[in-house]
Amino acid sequence: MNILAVDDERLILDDMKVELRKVFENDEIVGFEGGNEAIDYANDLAAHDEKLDYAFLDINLRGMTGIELAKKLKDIHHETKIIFCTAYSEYAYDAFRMHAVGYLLKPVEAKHIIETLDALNIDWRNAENKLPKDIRVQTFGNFELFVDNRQVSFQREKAKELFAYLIDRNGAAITTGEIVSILWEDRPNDKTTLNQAHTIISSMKKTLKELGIGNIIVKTWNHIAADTSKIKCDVYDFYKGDAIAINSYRGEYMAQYSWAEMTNADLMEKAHR
Amino acid sequence: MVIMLVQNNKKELKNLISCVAAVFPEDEVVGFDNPVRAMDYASAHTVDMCFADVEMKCTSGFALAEKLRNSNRNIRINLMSDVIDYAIDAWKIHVNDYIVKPVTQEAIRHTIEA
Repeated sequence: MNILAVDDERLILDDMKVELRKVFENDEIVGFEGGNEAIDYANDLAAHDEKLDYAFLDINLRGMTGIELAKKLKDIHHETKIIFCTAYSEYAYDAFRMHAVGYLLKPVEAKHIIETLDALNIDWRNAENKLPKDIRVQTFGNFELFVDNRQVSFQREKAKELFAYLIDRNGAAITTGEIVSILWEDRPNDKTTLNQAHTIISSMKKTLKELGIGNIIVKTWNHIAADTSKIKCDVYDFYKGDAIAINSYRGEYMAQYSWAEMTNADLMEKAHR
Repeated sequence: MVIMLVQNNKKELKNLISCVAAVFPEDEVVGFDNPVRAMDYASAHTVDMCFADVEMKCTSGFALAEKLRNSNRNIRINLMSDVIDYAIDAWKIHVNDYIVKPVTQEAIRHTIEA
């Protein structure tokens, strides 16, 4: 899920994000101090066919009120659930009129957020992961991802390659610059290429989200990583000394990707020991 | 769907019944001028939506709303009042909407648009 928080006071915004993180452990939480930045973010999500699930908005913002901001967000994402977070009670009626789903008085705590979401009568905790999915990655031979035993087709080849690289990095976080050098070996790390890298990241995340496994990607500012604890993978089993995994290795590792040769050399050495 | 209307003032109740019936022609609309009777009805029947006045004799709309919510978690509760002042309290008990009277067909449609 995508969750937005807006408050023009930096410290309150930071506190809010901490409380939201307690509630939404695996979701994307993005915070802004200004309404216009929030609108840009909402437009960006829409451009990538992604939903904005919840918006937690302060009301007394500079430039525009939280009520105005909420209306603009709703114009872009009709389904977004709006929760106002304010120190004042005077906008309570306006909040009802614009179909907000919650009105929290500051300081906002995780338990208040949970109370509000529980009252919505939707299964918000499991909106994405209804059932734990069986996520299996095959790296020996060609790289493939299987979710509940079905092979996943990525919309873009490079999105698949990026996911393969995250698997190869075994949970280590990588930067967008590193992604550029892996996916476009010979191209400079310029603005155009960085933008393309962002498009690839979004495409990969979208594919995973649609499968209900968006939370296997962990994103922090400018870094992404795979949460390997949620993934079954032959090469991970190989390094753990699992006999079946070791026997299934036939000298090929992510054979379609040239950058995988380094790991393959290491595997070959270990297999012949 | 069963829609329950609770309002002390008989004349207002009659007006409310006709408004709600016009917006929901296919549903069952039941009206009460006494919140205690309304609660009795709700404990014997499944009520899907309720419009209740905030200021009533015997029981406030808030107390009624909380009881209704406890008997059916899925009920949609809309409170009505002459003033906006209680809107903040309505948020605290997580009602679905708060309408300032007079309640019109348009206001009822607005409520269910979300």
